[in-house]
Amino acid sequence: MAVYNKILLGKTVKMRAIEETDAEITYNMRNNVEKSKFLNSPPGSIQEQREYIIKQRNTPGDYYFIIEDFNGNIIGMKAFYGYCQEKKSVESGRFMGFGNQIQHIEALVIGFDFAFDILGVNKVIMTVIERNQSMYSLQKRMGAKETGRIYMPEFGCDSIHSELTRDSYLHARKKAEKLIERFTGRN
Amino acid sequence: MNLEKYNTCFKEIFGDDARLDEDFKFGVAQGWDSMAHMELIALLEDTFDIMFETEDILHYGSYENGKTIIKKYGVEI
Repeated sequence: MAVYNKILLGKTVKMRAIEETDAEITYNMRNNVEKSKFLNSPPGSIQEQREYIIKQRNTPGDYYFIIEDFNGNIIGMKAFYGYCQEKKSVESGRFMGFGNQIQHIEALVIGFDFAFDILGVNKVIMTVIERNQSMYSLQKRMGAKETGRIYMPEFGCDSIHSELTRDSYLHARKKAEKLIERFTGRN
Repeated sequence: MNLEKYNTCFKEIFGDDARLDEDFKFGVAQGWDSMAHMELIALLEDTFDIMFETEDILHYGSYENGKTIIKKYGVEI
């Protein structure tokens, strides 16, 4: 079982482990055509999503988080999976954000802090569809370095594999923190 | 000139090769991600001595539409 039971707290968002009761809202998110266009096929029903959540909670090395704002609204999801203690690595992905840009940035920061500081990994592995320009750019901006590509015929472009090391991340983290600090609490 | 300063802000974030036209938008223009977006907003605020409201930050999604938004803050482009 891989459930991180503590809240990951930021200034604009918090993250907690996904639960079965999140099935309906996350099903609706996954079926948002625009937001899901670069992800795998969405679940066909709320029950299917509920079963997926149960499976994720019981899969060692998989951590699936819900992102919430401080008004109790669920504004996204993010996952870390394939955690390997020996290799000190984990994969990051399945990000969906329905908040604003600062909340998205902070959710990434909180997530990477979890990976590097709590899981104790030395690298975070990421995959992104090349046409997902904003996420690809953001990964690079957070310090990720490309390690390979595979052509995905169903998307008509490459899937890009990258790795983010602790040192690269810490450099980008300072910039992200400054932005979060500046824009938190803005009306 | 405000247009020059406006363009300078965009070039500083997206590079001198950025093609600043009606198609230059968040999620489409190369390099326009959430971090670049907030860095751009911060630079525009500092350059024009203004402070954007959250809704305007959220919807500041394109080079052209941005000119309309920034007008609300007394900046004529």
